[in-house]
Amino acid sequence: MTAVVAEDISKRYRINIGQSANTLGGRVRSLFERNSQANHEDIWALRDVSFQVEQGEVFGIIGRNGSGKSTLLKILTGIVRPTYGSAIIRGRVGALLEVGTGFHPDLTGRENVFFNGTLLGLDRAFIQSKFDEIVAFAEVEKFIDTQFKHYSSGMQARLGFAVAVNLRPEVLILDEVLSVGDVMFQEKSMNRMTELRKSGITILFVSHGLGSVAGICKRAMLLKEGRVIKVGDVGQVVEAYIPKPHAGIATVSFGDGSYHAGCFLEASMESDDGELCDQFDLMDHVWIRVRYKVRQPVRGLRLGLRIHSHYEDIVASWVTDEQEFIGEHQPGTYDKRLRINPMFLKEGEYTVTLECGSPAQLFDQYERVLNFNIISSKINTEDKAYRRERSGKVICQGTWMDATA
Amino acid sequence: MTDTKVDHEVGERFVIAERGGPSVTRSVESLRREFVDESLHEIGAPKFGDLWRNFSLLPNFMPLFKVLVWRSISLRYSQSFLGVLWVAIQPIASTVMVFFVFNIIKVNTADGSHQGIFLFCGIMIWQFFARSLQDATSSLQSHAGILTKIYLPKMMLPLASVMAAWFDMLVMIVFLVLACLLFGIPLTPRILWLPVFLTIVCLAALSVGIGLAPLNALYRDVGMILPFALQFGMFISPVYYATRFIPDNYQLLYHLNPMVTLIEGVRWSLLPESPAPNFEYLAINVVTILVALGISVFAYQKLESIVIDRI
Repeated sequence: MTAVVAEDISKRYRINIGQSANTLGGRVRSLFERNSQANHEDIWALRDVSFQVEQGEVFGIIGRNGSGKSTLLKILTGIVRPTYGSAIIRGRVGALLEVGTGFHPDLTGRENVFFNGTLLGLDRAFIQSKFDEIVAFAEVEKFIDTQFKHYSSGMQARLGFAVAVNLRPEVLILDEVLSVGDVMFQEKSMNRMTELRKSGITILFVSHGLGSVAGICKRAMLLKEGRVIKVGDVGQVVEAYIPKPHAGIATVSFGDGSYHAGCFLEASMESDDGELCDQFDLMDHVWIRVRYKVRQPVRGLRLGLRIHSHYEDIVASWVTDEQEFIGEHQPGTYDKRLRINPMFLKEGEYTVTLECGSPAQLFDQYERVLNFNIISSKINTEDKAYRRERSGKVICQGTWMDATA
Repeated sequence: MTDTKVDHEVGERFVIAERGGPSVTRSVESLRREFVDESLHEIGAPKFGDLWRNFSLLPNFMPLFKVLVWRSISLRYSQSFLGVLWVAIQPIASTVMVFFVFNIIKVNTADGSHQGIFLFCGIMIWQFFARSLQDATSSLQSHAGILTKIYLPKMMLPLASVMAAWFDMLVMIVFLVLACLLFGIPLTPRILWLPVFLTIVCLAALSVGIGLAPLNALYRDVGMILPFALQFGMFISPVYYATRFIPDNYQLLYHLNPMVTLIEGVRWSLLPESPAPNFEYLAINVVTILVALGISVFAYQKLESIVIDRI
């Protein structure tokens, strides 16, 4: 059942150039001027945006800043009217475009909760019944009756969010609200999102966090300069958004210029037989070889390697101090290899970041200098648990067995 | 590239829209037809039917309206020591000052002997009108934050300002009635006219405020000219003097100002010595106000979408 249909939604803004535009006197003056037409400029924030969302679906909307995402949400919520085009939404709409709308510093937390809740469309009786829960969620019990301006920014955000979680619409529209706040807060937000997703409501979700979009949404839409570039499966849409890394960089060398105690000279990806390689099979070892130079004795030198996936997520990282390098590292040139076990990294494109330092200081760092792919030529991963589209960043080993055995 | 699909469930033909690409299989129109009895949230460019739609949505937003009014009132007096009493202290202080001055220069501008109450009535009504008009005019601009993030029928904002001013008015009425009793002025059944006049003052403020609110949000000049206009308005209204002072040949022109009849009316309902207002003029004034209200609402509708784009 379709919950949302949008047809050719377009929005044009007329920008008046020049300072005289915002005063009545200025406008009257420009009426008399011969070239008043030159003062206008048409900006199309959205152009012929059409899409469809089924009931219960989580639909992501991604794009660069200024691509029209927020404008689209405002139009769907009814705040802004489109220049042409139409859309229909079935069901009660709840929109969360900002956390803590309407919060006023001079009112108490209690009064602000009621005001904000009513703004979001919650019933007063409902807010009253959930009031204690809201205050507990935000952890502001002691301060609920003091003026809002005395709250820290964290408390303010938490209180705003605590009210917002009680929204129970049939169609929920979210605009990048989950990226607000500290780590604990973000965790709570994500938990809430998962809960909502399971409850079967339709969600339209704008975010810059591609990892979260890819994780939560099944379908998505990419906007660029107001137009729909791609709409469909979330994996494909995200790929269309982020330009792929250059295919395969297997080796890279660095200049010797740094004066730090340690620096990288060269790094490369090798296969089992020592050949430079940028594509590995699931079943192969992946070797990363680094040559580095130490200029002064360093106690506890550490090398760090981080593997990033396409979405910027850190998939795995290795730091050397666990295995070796205890004690002092004497000056000299070193050549080390890291072996990554087979059946660990899933199929996909990866990039490598190198770091070198001591516990106290970072000496050298190169981000995303090597690119490599993992493919599966020997196994068909279609129905395997570690198939690329399934959740999980890496392949984890585990065995199913009977509980009674 | 078009394609047709036959949906056997519903038995209709859906045409996949050319521009939308393969993912849009239904049109807005087909959805509208299919779910007739459900309440659909419709989105589209501004059109003529919006006015009716806005009004019919107002009841749903009553809780929000109440909260808006309450918030305006709390905000005014939240951090003050005297709180709500300030509502009455302002007009009383003005009255005392003017009364004092008039006493010194030995001028009696009132209709009878109770110059204090006479002045207080005028000042009270005028302050109500001026305050509610100013608040209504700046309502959209001061709530810009909410307007850009929440959907609400925007006409609620000027309305809420006027309602908040009503609250002030009620407090002032209490003081006024107390003062009347204090000075030994008998209260006659004429006092029943008081709510009528007050409602008309309210409508007068709305009739201008609703139209000025979006204008002020677009062009700040409006909000800056308003205090001057109100100053002028105060002098051409019988706030500090009775209408008998106006020469006869100007009386008609004078009575085109609705506040004249209204202030006279309020005085007449409370003070036994005040002459009755001319009810014919009152009728003309009410018609003027209603016409102005109509124009304001119409202008508001036209400007609403532009305001949201620019606010």
